[in-house]
Amino acid sequence: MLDWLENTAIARMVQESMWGYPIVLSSHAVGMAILVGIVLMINFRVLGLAPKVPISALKTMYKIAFVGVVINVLSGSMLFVANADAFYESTPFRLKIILLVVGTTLLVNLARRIFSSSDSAPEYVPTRQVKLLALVSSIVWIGVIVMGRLIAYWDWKDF
Amino acid sequence: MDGILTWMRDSALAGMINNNIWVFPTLETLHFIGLILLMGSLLIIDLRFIGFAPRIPLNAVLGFLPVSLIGFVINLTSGILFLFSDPYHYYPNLSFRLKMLTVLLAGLNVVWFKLSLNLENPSFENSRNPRMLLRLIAALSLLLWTSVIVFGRMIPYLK
Repeated sequence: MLDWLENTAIARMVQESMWGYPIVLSSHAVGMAILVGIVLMINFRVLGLAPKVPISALKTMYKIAFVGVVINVLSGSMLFVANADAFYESTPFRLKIILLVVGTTLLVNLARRIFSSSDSAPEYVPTRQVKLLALVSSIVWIGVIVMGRLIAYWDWKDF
Repeated sequence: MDGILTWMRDSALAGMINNNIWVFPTLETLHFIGLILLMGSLLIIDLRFIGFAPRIPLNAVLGFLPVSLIGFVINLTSGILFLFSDPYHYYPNLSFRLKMLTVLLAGLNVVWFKLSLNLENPSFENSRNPRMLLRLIAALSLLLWTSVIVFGRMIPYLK
């Protein structure tokens, strides 16, 4: 399965074309900035930053974060197939995927709580429980970044 | 210039970074976190000034600016340490030079943004519709900072 992935046309393109790999890697960094950047800012707002920004109005930004999801699922899959067995074996990569699943669950859960009110409803004020959710979500998403970076160093060079 | 580069390479600081295998990966991870803080907060601010999420008052969204500043300081510090660790790698590198040029342009764009904000009419506090010039500056900001990320990621490839 992993060998087959590494021999697909898309994997070959990323591995062999001179600019394939750097372009996919750059896209992954830009997608990361969009997705994790917006997620952290929503969490920080819930935790008390920029208090004059209506929390419900950040729903637009939450939707825009999906652009980052699309970029990174695509670029991430391309990076994976180019080196499938090494990624599959990598401990930080496995932890990154686990943290991604946890982070996404927390994000969707938080969004459901803070963006549910309609435009005419009185402005949403986060409860302690929701603030805790935002704090844990921030830590988990930072963990995703740390693990992503560690993939290059764990037992692997030059990424 | 050669004198400065040699001085950096032979400094105690460079020795400290290069003689401990965990320092560089840690700095790199911090550089990514700084990138996310800077780009995430600027995304919210710039997207608002471009015209998204009109329910957020313009002055309220500027509450995210301290995060941009923190992200920038983290990346300036970690970036200078990268330079010390291997000055002869970075200084002649084409992507590095393009990145520094783009950071400079993005910085000038921030000054332009600030000057244009000061020229806003006194009712800015309650304004919901930014002038065309501010929209343009905000779009330019996103374009420039995205280029900074891409050139940074290209340093090992576009030399």
